[in-house]
Amino acid sequence: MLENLKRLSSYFAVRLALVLTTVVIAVYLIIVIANMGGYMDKIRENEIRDQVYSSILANPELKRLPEGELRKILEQQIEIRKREVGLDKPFFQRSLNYLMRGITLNFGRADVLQSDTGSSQVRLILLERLPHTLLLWGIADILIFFSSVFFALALSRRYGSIGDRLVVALAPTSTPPPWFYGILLILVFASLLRVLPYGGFVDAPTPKTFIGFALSVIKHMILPVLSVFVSSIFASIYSWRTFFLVYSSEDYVELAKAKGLSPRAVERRYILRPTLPPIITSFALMLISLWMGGIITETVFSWPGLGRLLYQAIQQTDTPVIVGANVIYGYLLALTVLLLDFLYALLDPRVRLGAGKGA
Amino acid sequence: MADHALTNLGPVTETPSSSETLLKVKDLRLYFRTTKGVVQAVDNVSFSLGRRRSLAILGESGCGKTSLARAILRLLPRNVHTFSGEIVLDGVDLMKMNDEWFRREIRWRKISFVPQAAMNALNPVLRVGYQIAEPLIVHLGVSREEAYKRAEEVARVVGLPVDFLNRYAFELSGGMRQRAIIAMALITNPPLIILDEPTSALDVLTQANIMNSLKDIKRKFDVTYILITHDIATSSELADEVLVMYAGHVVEHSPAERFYKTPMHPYAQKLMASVPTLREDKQLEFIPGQPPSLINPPKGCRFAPRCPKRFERCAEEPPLFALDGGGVAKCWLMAR
Amino acid sequence: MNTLMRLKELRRYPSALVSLVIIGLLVLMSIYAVVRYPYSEAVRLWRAGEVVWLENPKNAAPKWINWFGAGQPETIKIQSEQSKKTVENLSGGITKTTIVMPFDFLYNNFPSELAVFFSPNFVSKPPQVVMSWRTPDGREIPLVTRIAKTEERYLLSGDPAVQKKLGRVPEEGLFARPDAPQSVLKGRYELILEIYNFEPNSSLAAKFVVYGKVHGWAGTDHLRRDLSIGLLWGAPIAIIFGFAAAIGISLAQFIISGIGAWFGGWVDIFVDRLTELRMILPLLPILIMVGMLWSRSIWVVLSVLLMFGLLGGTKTYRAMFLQAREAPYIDAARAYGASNFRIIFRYLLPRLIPVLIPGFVLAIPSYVFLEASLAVLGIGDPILPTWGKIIFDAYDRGALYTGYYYWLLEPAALLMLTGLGFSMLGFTLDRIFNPRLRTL
Repeated sequence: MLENLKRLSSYFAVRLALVLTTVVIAVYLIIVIANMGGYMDKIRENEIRDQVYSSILANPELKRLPEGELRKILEQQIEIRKREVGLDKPFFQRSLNYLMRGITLNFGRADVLQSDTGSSQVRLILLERLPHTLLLWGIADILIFFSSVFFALALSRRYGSIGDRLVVALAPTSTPPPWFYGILLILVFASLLRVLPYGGFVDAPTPKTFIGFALSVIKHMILPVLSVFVSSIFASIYSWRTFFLVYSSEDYVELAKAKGLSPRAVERRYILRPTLPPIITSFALMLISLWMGGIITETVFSWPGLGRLLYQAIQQTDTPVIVGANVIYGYLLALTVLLLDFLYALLDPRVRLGAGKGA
Repeated sequence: MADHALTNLGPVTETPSSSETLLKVKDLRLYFRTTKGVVQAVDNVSFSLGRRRSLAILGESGCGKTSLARAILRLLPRNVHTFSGEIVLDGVDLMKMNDEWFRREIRWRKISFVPQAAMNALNPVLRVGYQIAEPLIVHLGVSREEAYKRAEEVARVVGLPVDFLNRYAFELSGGMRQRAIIAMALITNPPLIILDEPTSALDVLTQANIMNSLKDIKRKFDVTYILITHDIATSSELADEVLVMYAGHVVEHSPAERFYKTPMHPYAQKLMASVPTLREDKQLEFIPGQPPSLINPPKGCRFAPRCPKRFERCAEEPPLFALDGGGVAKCWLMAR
Repeated sequence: MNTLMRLKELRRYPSALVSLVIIGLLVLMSIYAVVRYPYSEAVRLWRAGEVVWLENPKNAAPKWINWFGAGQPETIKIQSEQSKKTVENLSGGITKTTIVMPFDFLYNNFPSELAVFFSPNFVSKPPQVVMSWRTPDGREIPLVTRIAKTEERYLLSGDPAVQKKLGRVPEEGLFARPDAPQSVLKGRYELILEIYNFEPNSSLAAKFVVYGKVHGWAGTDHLRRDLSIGLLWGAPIAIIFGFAAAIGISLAQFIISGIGAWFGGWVDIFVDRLTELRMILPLLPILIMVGMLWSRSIWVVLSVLLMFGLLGGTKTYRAMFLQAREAPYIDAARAYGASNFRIIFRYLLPRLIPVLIPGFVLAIPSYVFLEASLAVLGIGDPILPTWGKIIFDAYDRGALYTGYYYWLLEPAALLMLTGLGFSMLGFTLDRIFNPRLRTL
């Protein structure tokens, strides 16, 4: 057992190191792209301006100087600072500097947007929105995963049945992204039937009790989660039921049946367990596209998460926030990949014990 | 019940009595539905098998021998068209049992199965030892510790190093995997073990080793094999009786000693003629043509189109004629 | 060849036939769009703003809702040149031309706007117009007097003076039944223009437009543009974009997976890392960044997508190639000394092309929706009319709250149809070509 744990942790450590390097490369690429319009330089310069302004204005002696002189000193100081920081160096060096800051989400001040507490710090704005996104998508993802596995398993037992054929026929309904169904659901349930809210996180005015608050949030989560659910469920049931069908015809499944194991035991230990690793890989890819689709879905439902923040940043052309959002999404995706890698290792001993490279 | 399983793993002191019938198959039919028609894979097969009289079922691919094994094991696919007849094991007709009864009382208790040495017979995500011990835990309600102890004993019997029990299937070589599967088939001590091409996917040395282990087990324990193979040479090591199938029919069923020297049915003769022998200088023959389609099998003797000894009577399907010295053959030539 | 034979199996699946019909319709739609409104024409019309579209009603629903008994009015246009004119010569060289513009209004609902387009012709003294209104029940309502100085669009329904006089918005007040003010008085109406020309050669042409509430087979948007142009043109754009992206990326990933699987070792590890990089880079946010900071052109988006797709391959393809690599004919090729590239491109890849086909077809709708997503966010291509752009306009103007459902639903329906068409085909192709499914 201990041996197992040791191998698992060394595997995980290696994966973590690899993913981190990839993340660093990803952030670097994001920064390079962001600087195509010189925006990273601009962000840095603004930061310096702020620093110089506040340091000079804090100095009572300098404040007394006439306007023209003050301005000259300001500009001088800014130039000095810029050179100190290396803003006049070639692009490669500057980019490494931005990389360091980007990794820690240090993107300075937002152009327009503000956090709930009134701060303009990009990092704060981003981190404030993160939990809402995680809440909504976390719950939606878990729901989709377990329902898909359950129904896929059930359908694999009933190949050719009506339910099976229905799912196969409905699989194409998963092509539109969640926001598409979101708009339609709003039309039906909010606009026409007036049963559920158009969007938002919680009722206004905010309910006073914790239970009231929780229920209100749940009420607001119903449509967004439903739109994500509807937009993914049929294709994932179809795809995983196909996995189960294919893996049901493996020789070891037949031997398990011949051994006299109950159908339930065969399903659990000989079909479900060996098939979970590829299902997890497929789920990882699904999650990635869900995170992306979530941007517009959050916007459509005015859900106060990273997606809607990104949309607002686009509307108001707040570049630091846009670039910062890119990085944080990169982290989210990296986390997803890492998490699923870890699950895969738990479930498939071949990966843990290093037999055969890659999955 | 648990005691029976545990204490019976000792050497057998009684002499084998071949007069006791273990398995009696009568008019067994197994037809499959396919997009091209109904395939009559097992067509009216009958034979009986005495206790501790191991049977080798020979035939080329597609003759129905694997389907016969599946029929006895009730490992049927979705597209079964007909499944009828009698399969009497130890006095009980298996065909009359429902699936749940069959699963609980027969599977692995009375009949176990050693599949082809496909790389795939072991679950890749469960430990080998667990898979070997599993039937004991499931069927006989044995505790985990006892079951694992028994698994170790049985592993030793088949020549599988005991610490391999803690490993996963992919860590074992082909030969080791096959031994594990044989151990799994032995652990509940069933009276009948069906082996489907147990060594054909292995290299010659491993093949020989495993055959030796099987012979060993056969000598020491109260077990009857049904060995299905197309490899005539290796079958001779284990077989007490031989059953030859062709196009879904039994064409000959003879005691091994007589069969390997003088097979009676023309098809069986051709089969033996195609096997190279070590010391004789034999001109190897082959059988021209192809076996008939099992979808709409032709009337009359199914081997007739390829048979060098055919004559007019062969247009009518021959019955099984008793042979001198034991056995039966499905050929008009035996009608004297 | 084997692939062609299997393609014929498509006939067995009804969903495949339906999808082929849908795709066929979309292709026909695209051809019609390109022929009827050639590219430059379509762009010109779509960007033109209100000038070209001024005679369309704003936010009008499609005409066919009237088949369901909506009774919404269509736009009625009357030209002064074709109306009855009587000319009177008054003293002092002034001529008075009286033009009566009659029309029948038989709808159940009021018009949306009323406007008169004046085209005066004079040297120094502009003509003067006195406008009055005659209802079917014989009431004559004086309206306003205007001096026609320039070519202009006079919004009668927006004139506060007229509104004050009627006590109601003109487009309702002029048409309401006196006894039942919420219903329309149906019958023949007349707009009477008494034009006073102060110069011998001055004249005034007028066009009276009674704006309806329905227009065309698709309706209009807030800029009065006929939505059918946008909807029609959305088809070729969606198909071409989806196709180009899908084929470029699928092929790139296919080839790269093959190369990685074949060479193994460092090459494989490198391709693996690239694949991981692609999984971590957030595609949509990056496209957003590119759109905001660089260019929103659809070609730029396509190029960025293709570059993205070049980052590594797919795990599925890699697994397949690893298996195919062991095939004996590959060994034979190696034995006769074929170069690595020859083996990859002539033996390894072609064998597995059938598996590429369903993946590629299934990818098409995801790229169509990707382009729509960018447009819905407001970073779509600025010139081209795409379905996503129409949805963006609709959503931006609150179509969900104001009840202009058609504005949202029409492009959404077309997107959905396109998506369904290709994905139904893709799923069926998967059932035919997926090697693992054949054992079922």
